[in-house]
Amino acid sequence: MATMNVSAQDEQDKWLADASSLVKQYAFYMKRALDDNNLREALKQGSLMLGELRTIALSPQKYYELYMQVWNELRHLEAFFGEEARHGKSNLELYELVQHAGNILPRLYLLITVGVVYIKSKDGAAKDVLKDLVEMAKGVQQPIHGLFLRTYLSQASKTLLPDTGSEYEGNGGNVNDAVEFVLQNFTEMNKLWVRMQHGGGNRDRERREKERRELRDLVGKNLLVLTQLEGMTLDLYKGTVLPRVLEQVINCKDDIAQPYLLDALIQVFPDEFHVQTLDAFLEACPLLKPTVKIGNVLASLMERLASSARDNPEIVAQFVAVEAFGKLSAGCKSIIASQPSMDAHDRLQMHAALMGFVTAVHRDRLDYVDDVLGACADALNAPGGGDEKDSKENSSDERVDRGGIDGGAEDAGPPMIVSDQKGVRQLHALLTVPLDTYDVVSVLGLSNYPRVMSLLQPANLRQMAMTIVKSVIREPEGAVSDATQAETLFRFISVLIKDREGVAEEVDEEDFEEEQNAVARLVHALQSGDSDTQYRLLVASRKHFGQGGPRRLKHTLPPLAHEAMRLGRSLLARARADSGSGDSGAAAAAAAATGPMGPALKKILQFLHQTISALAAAPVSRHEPAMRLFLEAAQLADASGMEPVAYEFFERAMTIYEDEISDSAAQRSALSCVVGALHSCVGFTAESRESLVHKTTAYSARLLKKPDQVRAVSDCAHLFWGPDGVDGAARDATSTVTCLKKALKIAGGVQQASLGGVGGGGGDALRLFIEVLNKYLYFFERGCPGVDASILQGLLEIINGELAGEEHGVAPDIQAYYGATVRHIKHQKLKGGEIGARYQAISL
Amino acid sequence: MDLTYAAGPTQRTAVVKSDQGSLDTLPLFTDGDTVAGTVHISPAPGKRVDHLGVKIEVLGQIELYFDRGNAYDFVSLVREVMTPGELVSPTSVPFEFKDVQLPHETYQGINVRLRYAVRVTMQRSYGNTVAQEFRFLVRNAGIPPQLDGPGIKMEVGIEDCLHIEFEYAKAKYHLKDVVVGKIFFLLVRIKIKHMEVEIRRRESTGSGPNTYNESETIAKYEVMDGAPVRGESIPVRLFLSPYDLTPTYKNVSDRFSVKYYLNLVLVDEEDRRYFKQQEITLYRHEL
Repeated sequence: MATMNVSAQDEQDKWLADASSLVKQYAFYMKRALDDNNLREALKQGSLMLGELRTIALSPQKYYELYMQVWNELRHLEAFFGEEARHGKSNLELYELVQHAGNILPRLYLLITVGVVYIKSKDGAAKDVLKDLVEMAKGVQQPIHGLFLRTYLSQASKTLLPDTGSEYEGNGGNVNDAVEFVLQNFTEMNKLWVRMQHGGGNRDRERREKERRELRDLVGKNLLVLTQLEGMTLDLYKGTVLPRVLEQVINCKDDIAQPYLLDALIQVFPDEFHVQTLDAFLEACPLLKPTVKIGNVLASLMERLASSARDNPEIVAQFVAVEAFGKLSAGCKSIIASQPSMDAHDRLQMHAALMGFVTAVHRDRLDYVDDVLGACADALNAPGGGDEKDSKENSSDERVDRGGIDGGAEDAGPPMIVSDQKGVRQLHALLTVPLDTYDVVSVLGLSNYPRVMSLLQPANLRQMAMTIVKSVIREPEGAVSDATQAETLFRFISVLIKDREGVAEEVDEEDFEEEQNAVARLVHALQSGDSDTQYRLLVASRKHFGQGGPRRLKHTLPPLAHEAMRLGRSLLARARADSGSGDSGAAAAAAAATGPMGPALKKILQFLHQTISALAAAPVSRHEPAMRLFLEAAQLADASGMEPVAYEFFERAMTIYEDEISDSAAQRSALSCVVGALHSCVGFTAESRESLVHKTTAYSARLLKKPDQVRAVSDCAHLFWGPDGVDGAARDATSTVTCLKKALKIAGGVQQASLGGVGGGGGDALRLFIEVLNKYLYFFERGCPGVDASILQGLLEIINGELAGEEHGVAPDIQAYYGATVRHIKHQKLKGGEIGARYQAISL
Repeated sequence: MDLTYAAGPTQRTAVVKSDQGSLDTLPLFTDGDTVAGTVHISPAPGKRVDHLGVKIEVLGQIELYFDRGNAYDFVSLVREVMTPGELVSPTSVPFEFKDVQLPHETYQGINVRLRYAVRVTMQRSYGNTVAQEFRFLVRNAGIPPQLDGPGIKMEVGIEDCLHIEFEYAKAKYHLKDVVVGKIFFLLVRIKIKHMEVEIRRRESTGSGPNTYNESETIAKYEVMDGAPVRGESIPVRLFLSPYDLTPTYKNVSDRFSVKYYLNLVLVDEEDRRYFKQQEITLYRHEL
């Protein structure tokens, strides 16, 4: 096949070369005759030259090359014709003389060439000459010959039309004559062009279509000439040009010509014209061949109108005045009715363009968006038209109305599921445009939105759901502010929230993560100013997330818990503000629990309990976050005065610690969380508190690594010395000191171990000493009995000794740490007051 | 021997193609003209010539080629311009034929020719008779026929194959006229390559069983390139002036007729020709 093509190509080249050299030769003799002012000979040679254009062997492209060559040579002849003194004939005589040529193609080229001179001289009225030329050109029915001949006519006459304001206007006719001429030439060219399609078997069809596409601009240029006429007015366009062009388009019944010409029409004429002639244009669309992708054409019209509305807001009023939207949408409908076999993505493209139009022109008309979606859903037989929709809308008026309109589409067939890539993209775009333009919640509330969305395949639905999620996240806070909206939203994104029943889906891990993260962020977008509503939002989210399975829960539950916590805290703040009690402390907590916010807080804590338990119970382990959440919830419970609840939360957290956290570093950091949480709690009974503290210190002492033990144990000291100024905080100095001593002891053990040659431990011990020193300082400052200057002094000496004894120098970070500690001590000494006085006892 | 016409340089002339193909310029007369002039007779220098008288004839002859030597003289006027005697020096003798009937035009056909000549004959008692012919042309502008008569309009076709309707504005044309018409395609099932209009001349000579018909194509004029589709109408505009045409001659002295036809020919891609002939009447409206 390839070799055949190559040889066909070679053959074409050869034919062109032959013809071209003959043209050159005849042109040479012609020009010589012109030099001699020998008209007869010049015409003879010119005819011979033009005779080369009679070939039927060349492809359109090669023919074009030949045509251009001849065209150039004809300029000489035209110049000669223009100089009467050289040939002695009047223009009319010349006009007759060239018609003596026996072959039609050369004859007509010559006739046009003389005709140009004839019009220029104004001896002949432009309209008459042009009319004669365009009429005589009918003799050429060979498509390629005819197309190029008429192109020659069109080119040659472009500046000679009796256009408004042209020098040929008046005697030469007026713009109507010009239009008539161009239209006639256009019509004939189109007929020839369409005819190329026929004749010859199916074998060459592809080649023919390719050739036709190469030639289409020859036809389309006529439309360009029309728009360039000075005298082209809306009335002329509406009354003459458009009807004639449409008539030709419809009658030619050609798959290539119909969309091309309509598109050309759309592109070359100004938008003002289109706006005023929408009816005619749209009426023509359903009359095209069913195989023509008219959707594309209409889409391109709507896109063009939309973009003009964006660029030029003034035109919008015109759109409104002519009810452009109603017409366009009716147009889409009738096209779909006329082309039952239209592809899904063509239908989509059309509606996507219509959507683009609505968003560009009618930013304030969300109902139009719904109309477009509804039309699109109907066009693709999406379920939910007619009755289902009615039941949801609950309005009997509406039902009658809808039933009347949509009645026909209901039983049109099964829904067209859009699965090809192009269609999906379009559907996606159709659904996204309104999200970008209007506020998400309102869009999601449109009755037809889910219908359209139901056309997507699950895999593609995910993508769409992601788009929705992202749009919601992008919205300002409070976009989704009540449970109904949330329900709607979750319905749309259910594909992200839960697995489909009975279907195992392969989803890329990374995509999945990204999706779930987005969903997680969504939680924060659900915000209501009203706490009850906010709570309902959380419950609704929880309900939906709960169906997601462990893989999703680990992503979705934590933000939910955080949101709940936030709500709880804000309630608490309100409760305190209401009751006028202090910011913290057991009394305040108790007040909150019994105050008006109590039940709400309780509900939230219950919610938290459920949520975190679910997270903890998930097979895919999320123990650490769950534990931290428990701790946080415990603090909230404590602050709310719900001691048993707080205790339960601590229990749960510790159970997780015991059962699930085995990594030593994780254990260490978990413990510091526990200590932190417990430290701030004030509402526990002594018994509960002791139990919890005991467990914590036990965990600390059981840590695997000595340094960890040192840190954890020293942290535990805080458990016995609650925060300052808080009512109900622990004050157990003895236990505090015990903890610190124990820590120091373990640190000493570390030091011994390093001296024992285990190696490299010296620095560690030093660091630990400094850390413990800092703990001591903390309690020293707070005036904890039992932590006195002598202990500190001793510790400082140990450290200094270590520093001095370090053979290999001390790591810079340790030095810096120690330096900072010392600076702190100095600073405190200078501070004066009670603390300063206490520090004075320490000498450095 | 020589001959000059009375009108001298103002004598009308016309150019015709001779048998040999060269172009001759000959004096031109029309029916009812007076043929007058002067005959110049010059004997060879220094010789005397005895003769039995000199006569001048105006001849109009029809010659059929298959019957040569049996020319039919439809005009034969004789004048005795010199009585028998002796010629010693160049002598010029005037002659005049008043209002001569020249009913037919000069015609050079395939099987027939119609010619006019002035023949000068000197009869001699011994030796050969000296005779010389001076050809002239006759053209007669016809009375323009009724022009408002119907044109030619006709529907022709081959069943299920080709159906056309053609229309010529007129059936009668003068020789510098233009044939204007239209071909309308009602049905096209053949692959037409091109279409042309031919002008054909048919010359019939003789009569009865001895009738000879000769046709020749005077002009071929392509009016369409490529294949039309149904509903297409193709314009025809054919200028007659470039072609060597004569008026239609009907039954000239019962000897011959010349008729003209427009022949519409369609050629298909296999070079088959489909044609339809229509007679047209040609006339001369000026000399």
